[in-house]
Formats: sequence, structure tokens, C-alpha cells
Amino acid sequence: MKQKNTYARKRWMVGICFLIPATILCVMFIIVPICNVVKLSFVEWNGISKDMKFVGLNNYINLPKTEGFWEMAKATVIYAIGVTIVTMLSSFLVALAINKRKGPCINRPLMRCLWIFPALLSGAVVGILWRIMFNYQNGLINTVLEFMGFEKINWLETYGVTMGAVIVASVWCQIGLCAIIFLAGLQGISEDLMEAAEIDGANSIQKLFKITIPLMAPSLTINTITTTVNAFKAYELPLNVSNGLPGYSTRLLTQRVYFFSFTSARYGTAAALSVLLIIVITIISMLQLFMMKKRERMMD
Amino acid sequence: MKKRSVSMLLCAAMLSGVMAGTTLNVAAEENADREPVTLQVQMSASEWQSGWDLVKENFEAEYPWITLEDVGDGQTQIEFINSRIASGDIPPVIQVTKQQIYLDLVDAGMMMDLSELEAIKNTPEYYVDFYTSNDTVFGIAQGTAFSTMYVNMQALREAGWEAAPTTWDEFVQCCTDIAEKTEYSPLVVDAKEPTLCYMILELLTASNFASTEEGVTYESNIGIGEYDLNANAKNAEKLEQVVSFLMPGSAQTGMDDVPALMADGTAAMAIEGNWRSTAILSAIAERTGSTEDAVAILPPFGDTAENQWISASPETGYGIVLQEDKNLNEAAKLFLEWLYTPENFSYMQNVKGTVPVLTNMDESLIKLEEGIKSIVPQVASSNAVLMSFNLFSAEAIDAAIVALQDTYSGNSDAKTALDTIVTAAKNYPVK
Repeated sequence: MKQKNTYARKRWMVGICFLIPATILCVMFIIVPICNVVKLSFVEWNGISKDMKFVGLNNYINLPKTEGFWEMAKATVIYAIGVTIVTMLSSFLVALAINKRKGPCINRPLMRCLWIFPALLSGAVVGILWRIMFNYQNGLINTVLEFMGFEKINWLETYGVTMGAVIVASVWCQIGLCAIIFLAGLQGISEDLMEAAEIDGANSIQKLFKITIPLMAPSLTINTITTTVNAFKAYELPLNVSNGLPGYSTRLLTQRVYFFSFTSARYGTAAALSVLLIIVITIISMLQLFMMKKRERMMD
Repeated sequence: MKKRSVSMLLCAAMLSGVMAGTTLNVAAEENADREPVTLQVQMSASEWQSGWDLVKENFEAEYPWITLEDVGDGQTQIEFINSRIASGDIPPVIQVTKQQIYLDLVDAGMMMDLSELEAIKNTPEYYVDFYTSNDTVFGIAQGTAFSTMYVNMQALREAGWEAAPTTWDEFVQCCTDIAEKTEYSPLVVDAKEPTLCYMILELLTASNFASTEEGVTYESNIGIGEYDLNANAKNAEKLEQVVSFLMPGSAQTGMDDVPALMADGTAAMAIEGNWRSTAILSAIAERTGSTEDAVAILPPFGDTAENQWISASPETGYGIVLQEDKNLNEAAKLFLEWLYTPENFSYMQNVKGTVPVLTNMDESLIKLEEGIKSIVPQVASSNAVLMSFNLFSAEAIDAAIVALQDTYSGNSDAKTALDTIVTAAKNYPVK
């Protein structure tokens, strides 16, 4: 009995030893910075003066009163919902297309690589690329529209239209990675299941909704959560496409964090907004996870 | 006798050679004794980036113990400095303006007082005063920045104009003719850049001042929201008229887009700063095939040719942030002393093509684009109002620019924009 206890204690100690490096790293690079941001959100500080003035919850209370806050909050929500829905749908279709094992295809591995290529580019590069394409005067899209006899569209200065343009650019960038995760899910579906369904007389639509989608639930969960979180965190891509215009309609809250810290040197306000964003993203992700898991269990 | 003279001369030459050698050796020994330092110099969105290599090469040859490193390229000046402040790693030589963050650095005792710098003695008093806060001269300007209109004369001739407009009525008629008779957009502005976005409104407002005293009232009150831009209905009216002539997409037009748009013949005129003269005038000349058709004028927004206002300011300056390492402070001071001597300053000025700040700079060292030479004397005699970025807080600038960009893109009217600017200035007053 005593020997068993010693063995268990040894195992426990070894476990702790393995945990220590990761815990130290986690504390140093995640917990401490987050605590610092929270601490900063309760003070007024310009980054230079030695005194940080404690202001309690004032930074949080005054946030909604700052210029354009609600317009930016609305833009962030629209952007996140738009990017998540369009990315999910389009990447699923792409995954279905590149997963096809039968039928003609130019070069399946090459096609897969091409779809992933945009995900390898940095957000800033993608942003500038699409900004050039959407340029009113000589952008590719307006040139094509003009060639086809249509009126040119002011993609980057029209309310409603610009948000669409920003979402398209973001989706283009993310579609490949999501498609890869969907593809992994699709390839995990047994051929036997499909053949059995075919024997039972199921058509393609029925197979998609009754077999493929239910079995893809885990991939769907991962993709939805990561895409939503990424959309809420997005900064450089939307900024480079539209510069936040027209008005505040495509300016996201992350851009406001940058503005508060690096343009107006209000570090307390910037920290308060960051903390608020962390809370919102956490709540949304947990809600999504809860709902998706519930659905996964129902499908099981 | 001759022989003696020759030998005397030879002796003197040898002696001076030995002396020179000794001096050089002393200098070399001095340099050899010095601990090598790397001096970071901020070059954010700098118009003289292409002259940097010459500066670096010549300075390092003279001071081998100092290695120059340019930092901040690719970021705006204010974003760079704020990010470095946040990380506690401010470079010794920084670009400065009159914005709050620099005044905060002075208040915190972090800026070196440059009043003892030799170059300060060769800088006009106004520029020294401009960069003085709390009795500290914290910056030394590079030159004069002022609003300029660049004109493609070939486009104007196509529209039936042999000379550039000189008054508001002529300007409106000229723009109307360009829009009706040519393929060009009458006017483009780099409205993505806050200073230039606001400059049009500033010029229009100034052109409606009842007297020069109103200019002083404007400068002291606009930043705290006490100057009602809509009090004079002409301000909004004129702005609406200008907007109707702007190239679509101007609100999203950046600094580098304007020369491209002038080179490809999209726009006939551009409102920009004089610090962009080299790029824009060359672009127009490239389009027209003649430097004579690339002309710079003062924006003709006044009712008469004599009553023109310009938006002007001492250009971005250079200042020194005190470092713990005394060697770095000394190196930074040496660098500014070196850079602001006429010969070395020309490396910067020749690339920028702007009017230099140094009074001891010989004409032969100054290089100005042909097209802008004629307006330099006019600038000195014009009424001037201080450029916007010195008058507003960061929040107010942001709100003002968003409101104006909305007007330029046709999403909002001028009167609403002006109200927004006044409200923002009131809510976020400059300290």
C-alpha cells in the first residue's frame, strides 16, 4: 500500500515537473500581460508621465461617449457576422469541390494549394491588394464593369457597399484555411456510408444534409469559433482595404484601440476597450461552443 | 635667394603636412578612443528618405564611432513615436511637431534643450519660438510648409485657359470648363492625409476672413471649439462647390496616389503641400512632356488676386530625446549640428525641394523645382493661417477628418461636416 502511495506521489511530481515550464510561459506571456492591461484600464496615463492617475471605472463608463463608438461597435458586429457566415458557406463549398474524388479536375493537388494560397499572405498585403482592385479610377473591378458596359461603383466610399468590399477581402483571405479543416472532416467520412446511402436510394442533396453535414459538426464548430474570433480581432486587413471609411462604417473597434494608444496616447481608454473586447469575444465564443456542442450531441 | 625661398616653402609645406597629420591623428585617436554607438534617427514618412544614404555615408565618414540607423519608415510619425513610448524605447533623434505628445515629452524633461545648438543661431526667431515650450527649444524645423496648388497647364489650355486662375471666381469657372471640355477631373486632393484633408477647408475659411485679425481669432479658438465655422455661410457654400469638382475617390486618395494621378492625366489640378513639389511637378512634366506646363500656384480661393491666404507652418523638425547613455546624447547633438550646416542640410533640402529654414544657406546650395520658385516670394507676403494639425487634439482631428472625408465622397453635406468639426473640437479641446 505504502509502495503504491510512493509511486502515485512520484507520478504526481513528474506530472508537476512537466507542467512547470508551460505554466511559467503561460503566466509570463498570457496572464501577466492580461493583468497589466486590466490594471491599465483603471488609470489615466499618456505613456510618458511617471504618475498613473487612478480613475476607477471611468475609462469603461466614458467609452460609449467617445466619438463614433457605437458606429464602430455596429461595424465590428456586422463585419464579424458577415465574415463568419460568408466564410463558412464558401469554404464549405470549396471543400466539397476539392474533395471530389470522381469526375474531371485539372490538377486536384494544385487546386487545393491555390485555395490555400491567400491564407499564406499577410493581412496587410491582402488589404492593399484588394484596395487596388476596388480603386474607383483604375481598379480591376471597375475596369471590368466599364468594359461590360456598367457604371463604375465607388466601392470604397459608399455606405453599405464598402463593408461588403471589406468582407469579400477578408473572406478571400480566410477561405483556404477553413476549407482545409472542412476537407479534413470530409475525408474522415467513410465511403461505405455514402455507398450505403446510395443503395438506399438517397440523392446527392439528401446525402449532403443527412450524412455529410451532421458528420462535419466538429469541423463546423472549430471553423465557426476561430473565424468569429479572428473577425473580432481583425485589424490590418480591413484598415488597409477601406481605411475605416466612409464615416465610421468600416472602422472596427480594434482600430480604435490602436488609435487610443498610438495616436491620442490614452492608454487607459485603449486598455478598457481591449478588456471589453476580450470579454465580448470570450462570451460569444463560449455561447457558440455551447450551442455547437449541444447540436453535436443531438446529431450523435 | 630663389633657392632659399623654395626651401623655405618646402619647409613650410612639410611643417603644415606634419601639423595636419598630427591633427588628423589626434582626430583619429579621439575617434578610436570613442565607444562605438548606433544612433537611431526617426525617418517616418520622410520626404527626404532618398537623401538618407548620402547623409549616412558622409556623417559616418566624419564620425566613424557613430553608426546611423534610420527607423520608423512605413509608419506615421505620431504612431511610431507613440509605439516607441509604449515600449520605453524612444530613439534619440526624433521628428517633432507641436502636437501634445511632444509637449508632454518636454514637460517630462525628456527633450534636450537645443538652444545652444549652432544651427539655432541661423534659424529665424519665429521658428525657434514655435518649437519652444517651457523655456526649452525642443526642435529645429527643416523649412516652411505651406499649401500649394499644382496645375497641369496643358489640361487648362484644353479647357481654354492660357493662365492659371488667380481668384475664387476664376477658379470655379476654370474647374467648370475643365469638367465640361476635357477628360480630366478638375481637382484632386490627398484627403486620406489629415493635414491635406483639412487644408482645403482651412484655406476656404481663411479666404472668408473679414480681416487679418480674424486669422488670429481662428487660430486661438478653433482648437477649443470656440470658432463657429458655420457662422459665415460662405464657408460651407464654397466647400460644397469645391467638392463638386473633386475627383471621385479623393477621400481614399493617399500621398503617393496624387503624383500617379497627375502623371496618368486623371486630374488637372491638385491641392497639396509644398513638400510634395518635387514628386508632383515631375509627374505633371512627365504627363505633358514639358516642365513649363508643370506649375505651382497659391490656391486662388480669395476674392481678389491680392487677397490670398495660405495655410502654413514650420515644417516637421528634429529634436533629441535624452538617453541614459551620455554617449548617445552627445552623438545625437553632433548629428544635428552636422546636419544643420548648410552643406549637409542640402542633402535633405535638395531631395525635398522645400524652402529651407537655415538663413546662412547659400543660394547655390538650394534646389527648388522650377515650377515652385515663382511662388516662394508670394508666400512671404501672403496672409497665413497656422496649419490644422497644430490646432486640434488627436480626437478632434480624427472626427474632423472623418466628417470632411464624408463630405468629399458625397455622403454628407458641408454644413453638417463643419458642425461636426466644431462639436468635436469642443468635446476634445486641445490642451
